[in-house]
Amino acid sequence: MKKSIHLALAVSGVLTLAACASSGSGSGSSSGPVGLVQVAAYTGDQAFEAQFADSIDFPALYAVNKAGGILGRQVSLIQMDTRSDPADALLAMDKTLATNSDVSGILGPDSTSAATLVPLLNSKKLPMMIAAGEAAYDRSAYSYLWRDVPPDPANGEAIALWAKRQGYTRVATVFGTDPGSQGDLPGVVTGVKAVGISLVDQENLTPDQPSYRSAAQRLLAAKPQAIITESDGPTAATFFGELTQLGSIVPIIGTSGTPSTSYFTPLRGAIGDANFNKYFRAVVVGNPVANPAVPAFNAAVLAVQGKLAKPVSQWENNSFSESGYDAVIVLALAMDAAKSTDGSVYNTYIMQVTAPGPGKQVVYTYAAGMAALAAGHQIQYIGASGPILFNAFHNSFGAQAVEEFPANAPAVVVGTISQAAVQALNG
Amino acid sequence: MSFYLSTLAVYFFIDVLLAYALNMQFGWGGVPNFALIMFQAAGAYAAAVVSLGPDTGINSFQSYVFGASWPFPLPLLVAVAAGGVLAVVVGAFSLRRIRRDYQAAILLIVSLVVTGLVVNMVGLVNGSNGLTGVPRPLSGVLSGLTYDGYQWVYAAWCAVVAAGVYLVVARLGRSAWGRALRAVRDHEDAAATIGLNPAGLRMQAFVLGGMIAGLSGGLLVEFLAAWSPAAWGYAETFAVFTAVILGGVGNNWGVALGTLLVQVIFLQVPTFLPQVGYTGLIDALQWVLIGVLWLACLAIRPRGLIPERRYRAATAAARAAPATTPTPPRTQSATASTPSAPTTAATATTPTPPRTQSASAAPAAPATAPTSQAASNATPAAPAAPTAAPAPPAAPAAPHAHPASPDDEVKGPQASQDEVKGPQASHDEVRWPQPSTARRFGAVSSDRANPRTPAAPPDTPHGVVLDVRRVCVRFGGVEAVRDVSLQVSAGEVVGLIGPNGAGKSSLLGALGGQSAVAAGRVLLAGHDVTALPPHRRARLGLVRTFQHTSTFDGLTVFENLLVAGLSARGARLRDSLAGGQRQRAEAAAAVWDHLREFDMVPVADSYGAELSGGQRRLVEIMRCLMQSPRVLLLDEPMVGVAPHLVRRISEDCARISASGVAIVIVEHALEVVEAVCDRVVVMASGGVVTEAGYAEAMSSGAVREAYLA
Amino acid sequence: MGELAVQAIGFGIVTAALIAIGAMGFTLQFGLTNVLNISYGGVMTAGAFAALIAEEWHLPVAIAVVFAIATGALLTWLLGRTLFAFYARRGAGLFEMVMVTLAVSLILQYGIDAAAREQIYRFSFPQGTSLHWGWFTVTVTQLALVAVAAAVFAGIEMLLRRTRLGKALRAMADQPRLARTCGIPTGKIVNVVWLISGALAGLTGLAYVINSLTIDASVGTEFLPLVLAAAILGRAGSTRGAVLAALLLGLVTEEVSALGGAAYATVAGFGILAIVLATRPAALAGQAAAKPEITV
Repeated sequence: MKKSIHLALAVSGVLTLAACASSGSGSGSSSGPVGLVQVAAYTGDQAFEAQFADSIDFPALYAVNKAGGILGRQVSLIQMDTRSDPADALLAMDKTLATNSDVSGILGPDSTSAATLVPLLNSKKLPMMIAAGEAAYDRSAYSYLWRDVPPDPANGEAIALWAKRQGYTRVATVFGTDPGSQGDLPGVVTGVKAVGISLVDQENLTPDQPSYRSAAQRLLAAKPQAIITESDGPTAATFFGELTQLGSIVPIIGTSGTPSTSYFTPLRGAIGDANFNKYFRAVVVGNPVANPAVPAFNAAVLAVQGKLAKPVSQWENNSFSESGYDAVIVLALAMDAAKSTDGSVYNTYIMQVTAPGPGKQVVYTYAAGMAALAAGHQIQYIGASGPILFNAFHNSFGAQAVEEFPANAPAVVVGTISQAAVQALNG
Repeated sequence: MSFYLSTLAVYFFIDVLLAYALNMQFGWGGVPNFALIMFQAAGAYAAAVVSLGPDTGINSFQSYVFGASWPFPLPLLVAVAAGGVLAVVVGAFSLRRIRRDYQAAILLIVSLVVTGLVVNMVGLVNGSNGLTGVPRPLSGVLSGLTYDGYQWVYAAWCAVVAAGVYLVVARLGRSAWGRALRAVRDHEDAAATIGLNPAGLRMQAFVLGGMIAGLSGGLLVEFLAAWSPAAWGYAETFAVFTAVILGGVGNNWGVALGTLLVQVIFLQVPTFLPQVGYTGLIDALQWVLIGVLWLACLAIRPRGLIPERRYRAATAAARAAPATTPTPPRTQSATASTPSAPTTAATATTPTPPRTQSASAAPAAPATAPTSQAASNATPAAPAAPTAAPAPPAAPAAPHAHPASPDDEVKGPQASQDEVKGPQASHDEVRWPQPSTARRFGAVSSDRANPRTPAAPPDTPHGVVLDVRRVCVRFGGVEAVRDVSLQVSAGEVVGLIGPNGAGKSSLLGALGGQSAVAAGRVLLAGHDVTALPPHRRARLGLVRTFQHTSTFDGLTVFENLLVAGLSARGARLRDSLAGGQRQRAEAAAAVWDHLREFDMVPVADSYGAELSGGQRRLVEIMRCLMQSPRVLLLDEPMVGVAPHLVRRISEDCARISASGVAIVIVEHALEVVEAVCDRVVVMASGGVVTEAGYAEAMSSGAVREAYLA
Repeated sequence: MGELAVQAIGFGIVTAALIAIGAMGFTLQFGLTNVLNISYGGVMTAGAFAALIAEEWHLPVAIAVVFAIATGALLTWLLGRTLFAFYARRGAGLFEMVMVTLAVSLILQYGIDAAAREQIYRFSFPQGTSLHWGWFTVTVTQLALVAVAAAVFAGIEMLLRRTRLGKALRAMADQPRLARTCGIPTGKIVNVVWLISGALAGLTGLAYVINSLTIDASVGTEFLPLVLAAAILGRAGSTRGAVLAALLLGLVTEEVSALGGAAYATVAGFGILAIVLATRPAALAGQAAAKPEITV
């Protein structure tokens, strides 16, 4: 008797909550700021994502708001912390949606939270500019999901192509076993094999160990000509520092996940600036083009440099940040074009404002795009990362750049790998 | 908002499940499982791989084992099984008999090992990237629901599961098995001496907890649609521990409250605070606060907000159907100081008021109260009643009161029994264990003979019950017991005396099974028990007490005895789930008998920890008696006991041996030895010096030498 | 392959030195007080950060080392004298003390994390030149680390076996109540142990950071399990055991790396502990029957 009462109480309690709390969550009100939610890990294992997110959000918001905002309304940034944990991310997103009535678009989700949040956001009809590189979204069936960065495997394949171009025949990989790094490894392995380079050693390092000397020794014994790597900063510092101590260092090619202060600072400290400048390159996603969008981006970066991780030079011409910046501009322009901040209305305009077509005015900045739309034209936005061409699965990825990173100065592009070359590898 | 609440509700019920699991393993089982979250992870992974389908085609970006597309609810069942299997594996080597702090450290390290393995064996469950795309259960069937609606249905489903688990866990907690488990938690050695298998019980609790944790994992992964090592860092275990410690260790409602306070309120409220400092500052400070919360909890209220419930035997008895067993002996002890005549008169009258009392109590009890509740359960209600009812002026019940003169006692019960039986028949016909049934000490309770004069002749055969043949015990390089032989017959009391370091306790340890025998054999009524562990020996009738009192401090006195009465039979998991009422009724009747004999009824509901040293000794002795031992080994029973109780216990010893139990008693207080023992064995330096009657031994030079050498 | 395995021995010794310093401090503390102090990791982190602060203030390297050691010693002594003693007085059992230390560990780690703004810092320490001896390659700093570990070991051994204090310490560890009644100044000895073990904790944190060249708030707690494993494997209270166990763990982790399983290196180390526990638990915690008491 008592037991079934408890049961009934529990269930009815839940249903009561449901009844009380059920209210439609409309997206986008018609006045007040336009909310864009940045989904990233600000704490926890993946906390390095935060600074990248900032380097995208603040310049973009600056550019949009300076030009007058969206439909006359300023854009406000809502930072949502995934805490590097999918369960926490879900709750945080629920709360964000519950407590903000003006959410119109999502910047993200990131790799950690994508699987959990994408279905939710799609059902809420919130367009997402996803930053997750999983191949799962290559052929996504979610109509509100958009990705303007290549999937992780593409980056690995680009690295392989670069290595081939440099004439290497023997390479080794050094990857941390943390989720961010591991995601890029399969693409590297398949890419290296596809271009016919011999993979002489693979080292997988558990982060936060006191020493990797034996692994470094092992790698040296295999005599690679170059090392392809991604890991967190401390692991890289320990490993490559010990490699240097053991007597030799070879060219290091980092993946797109490497360029960041939290990686470069420890690594520079461990192997020395001279070695770093001489040997380290990274292949990053983002199409380094010289068009008017780039200086606009750089200007925006400089304008908000107080809010970004130092030194600010790392963000200038940063291809990854440029892609993200473009994604935000595209969302804003789509809302302008649709004359609505309601996702279900403006979602289709995302493709419209980026696809080339006859009679379309090409614009390189938000201000120009907004003006053109106001004047009744159709536009194609070409951003700091080049043209954005979404395919049927809402995926767009352009060329990738090989860059070197002088200290306290913007990155320098030393090579490009085209989308076509990467797709050719895939066969 | 609805989303947020429904997600919160789902998380709450899943966390409550984890809290139940930890309560089972840690609160009742005493295992500090710092690897708890691993079991949730096992369940989650298992449920994921059996519902994802093979890792080809659409799932080719992740690699994992198995891969089937089993429909709901099979993945949940697999999750439960996975949690259980992992518990068996981990338990096999971490539930050894080691200090709890070691155990905690080891479990922590185990969880690190498992995390390392999972992360690095990418083909297993896709390493650190984890599994994604786990289908939500019944999404096809329930496709008519909105996203919102589905979430609420899921929350309700989780609530149902949590309630169901609560029912099971609560039942187990109240059962004999639960009690046995807590006894093992409190004092493993003593639990073994009452026939409980500590390792077995702990493993059962550990596996059950693992299964519940696995279930929580299955539920969570089906909700999140993804699972990766990020979701089961070992910080999660601490959050559950905080909930359990704060809410109340050992109490299911307590841990649920703790979960609400910690997981829901404490961890969520800060997210509503305005941003202070840099992003992530509040998060870091939250963990600092959890640490402070722990410290505060441990200092102020270590047992939690809603601590483990005290088992109130008297209340339970009052709810039960009325009894037959005579009240008079109890009232008699209360009136010990008054002359016998009024007492006899009192006995004639007192049964009636309590009878009406219990009669009125009975209808109050739920009609569905099992009729098989022990008769004597109701009896204590009667002594409580006299304070309200027009009882004869009775002296307050003093646990130390000596029994009144034997004759009255012999008569009283008989007289009132006949009286009581008549009216009784109308209430409950069946299943009262008649006081005169041949329970071994049924004879004792109705037959309180003078300690020195033998009562009814024991029906046990005369003969050697304990046969010790050339036993040697070694600790490291030291030979503590050298070539000792000893025979004890039924009804004999043998004293084991000697100076410190003579090997007396070591010998007792070898006989009881706590120490291994290096050479020689120990036979118990013909059975060779040399290789048996203590709990098996206990089941054969060999029971021992310890130098330091070994009551179960977390159990009440009533429970201390009850758990001994039920031990091997009634404390089986299977039986506990099924009910096991009848055995409990019989055992409870015996418990009340003993409590009355030893005048301990007033403290029946006190925890072992709340008693005095002497009272604890008595509890220990009563506990031994509950098992009807053949051989009783008493290790310095008089240590720390007040003088009048020493006399009392000596009388009890004599009485016990009179009923056929063989006793070996190690004692330093020689007057006790003289009073109680039929024969003494003098030991020194590990060997036997002499064996003779007390007087003879004392006068022999050998003993003096032994003590002075 | 053979060459790699041999070289790994050299690396193993260096890693072992690092583990050994920490394990010796831990076991000294644990053996006497019976408190399984999980906040030891937090103290290691604190020591490392103290050295970082010294570096930020551009103080000489030697001062940085002193900062680390002093921070470790003081912090541990403070914790022992106030918090741990408080709970011990209230009758906390072995596991309750573990929970207390765990809570303190959380407070330390996340407190430092908050103060350090959750950043990873670069720690520069002169590594010295690399020396090549046959198959082995070591830097001067690594050699110094091994030397320091050896010196610590020698120092503790001398303290324990040759001084009165050491004898008193061993007596206390064995029979605390008896020691008290014998007139041994137990309070003073406990103080000394907190200070020495705390100093070693600070030193370990510093050494770890010198080795890895980066520092963040989780270094201590990440490294603690290895130190713990070495202390447990080597039997609580036995510094000789701790050193041997540290050697074993250091060698195993490096050998496993050399044989291709760098990712499994520490797992292998813990695996050894697990195996020993599974097969010979009595060897590690022989006095299961005796009831160890908290002495703080």
